[in-house]
Amino acid sequence: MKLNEHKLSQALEQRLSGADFPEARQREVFNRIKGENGMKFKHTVALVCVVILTLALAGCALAAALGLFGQFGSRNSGSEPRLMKLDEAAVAMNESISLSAPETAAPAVQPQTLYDQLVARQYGRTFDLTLNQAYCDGNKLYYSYTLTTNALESGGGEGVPTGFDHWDMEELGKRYNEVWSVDGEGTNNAIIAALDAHESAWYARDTFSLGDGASLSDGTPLNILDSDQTFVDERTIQGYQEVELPDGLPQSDTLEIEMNVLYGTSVYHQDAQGVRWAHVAQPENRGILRVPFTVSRTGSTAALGGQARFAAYTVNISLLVSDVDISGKAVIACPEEWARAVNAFDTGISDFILDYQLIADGTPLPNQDGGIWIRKDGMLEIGLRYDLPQSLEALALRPSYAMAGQAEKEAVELSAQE
Amino acid sequence: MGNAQVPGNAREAELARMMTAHGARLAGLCTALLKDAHLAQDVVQETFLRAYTRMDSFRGGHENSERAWLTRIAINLCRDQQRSRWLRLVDRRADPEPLFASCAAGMDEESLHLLWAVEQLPPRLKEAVLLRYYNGMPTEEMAQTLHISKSAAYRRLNKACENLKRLLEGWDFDEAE
Repeated sequence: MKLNEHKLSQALEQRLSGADFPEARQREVFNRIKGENGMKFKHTVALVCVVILTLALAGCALAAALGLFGQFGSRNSGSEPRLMKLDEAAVAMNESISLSAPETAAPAVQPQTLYDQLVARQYGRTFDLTLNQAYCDGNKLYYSYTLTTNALESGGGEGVPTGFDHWDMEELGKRYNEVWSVDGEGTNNAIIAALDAHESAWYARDTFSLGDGASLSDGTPLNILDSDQTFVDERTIQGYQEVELPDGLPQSDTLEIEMNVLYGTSVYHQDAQGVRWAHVAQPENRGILRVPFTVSRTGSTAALGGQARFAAYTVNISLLVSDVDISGKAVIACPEEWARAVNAFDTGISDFILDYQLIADGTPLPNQDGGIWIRKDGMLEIGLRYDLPQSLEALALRPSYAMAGQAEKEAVELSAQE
Repeated sequence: MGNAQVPGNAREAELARMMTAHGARLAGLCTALLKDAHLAQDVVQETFLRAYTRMDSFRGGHENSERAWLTRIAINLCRDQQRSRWLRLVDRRADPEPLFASCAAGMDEESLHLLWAVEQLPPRLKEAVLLRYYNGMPTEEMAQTLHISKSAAYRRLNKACENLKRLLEGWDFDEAE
């Protein structure tokens, strides 16, 4: 069946149409900023200025003292505990590599179409990738980075861009700003203005980024688990990534990895029928530059586990405690109706275990992962990740059912594993 | 706004503009996520307070970037609230304000079922649906808001739509009875 997206938007709009942020609440925001309830603004100017200045200085000092992991943590309360731990545990590397797009070996030919011109533009692009911090515990690898590039070009024109015989994406009946929005002050406005300037118009802008995940030097992919990035300015990106290391990786003090710098040009074309997008990349390498780094394994993990058998199911829990968090999985041999209910996301078929809380010395901690799926072997697997508790004594996992809620009597005690 | 320090009065004027431009929509989003209109108002209030203290570090200017920034703060606060509920005894007999309850007047059956289906989604997928179909965010802006890659945002939204279709199977509103 087809999802009626328009009806869905309408229904949400109608249901939430009463939502408002009234003036009384807005006044309360200002009252809290002023730090007093109802006092006249002129009496609090000095206090507000001091508070703002103190906050700004504190913010600068905090940012200066923190590595990139910590800076991202200070901006995201959900990840803050983990990223702050990571900032403490990570090694400051600040190693940089300069990269250049390969030069063409073919004789120079005058570009005939816009597509040819944009391909030609890729040659000679340069990048600097700095690995700012890294933390590796043998189970996961985290790294923070700064990626800069030389001049980026952009521009547009009227009509259909020449040389494009297919588009990577096409949204009929839509305008650019109904489908895409890009980072950077003014960039989005420039694209919209260029595309709206004519009935049929195109716009091209150079792009660059760090690819998701990394790989070992032998090509084994390291799947990405978490990431964040921000544009410091038009030509500088800062970010971090967390990747999973494969099981059975030989123990060693160092790890050779490869990251990918991706670059190319995004091209948009908009006309009365809709809007389209294509990515132009250098043919020799598809716009991918592989960058090797060596990271040291400075962390370690301790294994925790637990098993339990209940009337309806059995569960096997495996966790690793690192300097950053506790992560792992719960694998449940469950009744067939649980599997059907999970796959259908329908608790009308059956209730099922949806989640596990970590109970640390009586204090419950929420699961930051929350992934849940039925494996090919029919087992129910729940992804687990918890912030490090104050104490690792007396740990247990307590299940929560999707409908019935927490099941105190089905808590599983955790113990150290070899 | 760029990187310059904004003077107090201009800063407060900017905050007032943001609250007018984005307050109602953020309140709707938070209400849908938290199922509690009063709590949603608290979260939106806190969102703007945090935005005020971080205003100088916001490098944007285009309304979509500002919206993504504010929505990101609000979603993180909602997630904190959702997590903190695990730490309190929650009366599971009480179902505060699910999307599909107490709104039957004036809504047809298809709309009610769509809202019910959204309510059944896991939290992350529900966020994606609300950002796209209530906030009208393009996928790249969703990625900015949720701190995920663009491809991850596409996948999350696709998964949400697939789940919605599965939940709605059997309810064919195109065919007459």
